[in-house]
Amino acid sequence: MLVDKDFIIKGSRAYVSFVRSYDEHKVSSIFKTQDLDFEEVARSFFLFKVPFIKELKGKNQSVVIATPEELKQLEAVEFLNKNQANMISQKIEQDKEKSKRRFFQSNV
Amino acid sequence: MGFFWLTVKKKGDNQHEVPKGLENSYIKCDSRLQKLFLLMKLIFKNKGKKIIVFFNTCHEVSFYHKLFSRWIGDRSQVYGKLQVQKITGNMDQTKRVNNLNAFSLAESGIMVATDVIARGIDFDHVDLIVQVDVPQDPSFYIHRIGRTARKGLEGHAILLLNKNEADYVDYMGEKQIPLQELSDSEVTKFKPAELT
Repeated sequence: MLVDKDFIIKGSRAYVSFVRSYDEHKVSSIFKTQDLDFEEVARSFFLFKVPFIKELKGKNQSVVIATPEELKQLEAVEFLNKNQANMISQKIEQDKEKSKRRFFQSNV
Repeated sequence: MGFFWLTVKKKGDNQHEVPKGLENSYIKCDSRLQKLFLLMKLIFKNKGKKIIVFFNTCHEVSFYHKLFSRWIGDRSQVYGKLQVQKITGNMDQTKRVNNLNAFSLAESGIMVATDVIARGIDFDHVDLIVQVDVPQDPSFYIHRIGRTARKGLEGHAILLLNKNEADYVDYMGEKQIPLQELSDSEVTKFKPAELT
């Protein structure tokens, strides 16, 4: 997992979508979200640090498996595909501009 | 004017019929990580065959597709040129068709998929179906396992269950879909250390 940052991003997205899909299960008498072990699920996506999920506010979901040294290593992980990094930084800037515009419009 | 009797019957209790050549089984796992190890073992054991792996969401599929294709690509002396395809709802139509054709024409391969191909799509001789996530809608279980054992051929469907999801077997039993625990000791009693 310490090879490519794309793994970490995809993994955290997958974690969020998995927990949400589990929460919306039709047979909810068997698949209870409160029985779900978030640490176990995070391990299965090979995550050391877990993103916060709005829907599950109030349930104990703060999970950090890694030691501080490992977290430092994680921050240093880069994209294997350099184009991807550029794409993402561009997208972030675009989103910022959009939200600025919206802010002005709502104030006018 | 004569009378006539009109009888109303309940529309077949056996609405969803399981195909005859299908072996329908499940494995109990201790954790979600062990599900993945079991999946790797199943892929290793059936590397000359066609496998479909079902997940519930698109993001899960794109993550595990990347993971498996890297894992298999790094071990080409073991797996040969085993192909891993993916199909999700948020891909382009052309890409989807390409991946579908590549999988259905190949003699062996792995397809990582969401419920988009759970119904209505006909592949030639798929040997094994692994469900890592339990389907959100129970009726999709039948659609998913219907991808194998077509045209009188034999097939195998395996559901991976977590220990806290074990009641699902009884639930499916009530819906007249019997599930047996997999008796293959080679798969169920292995240690993750054997994989690498």
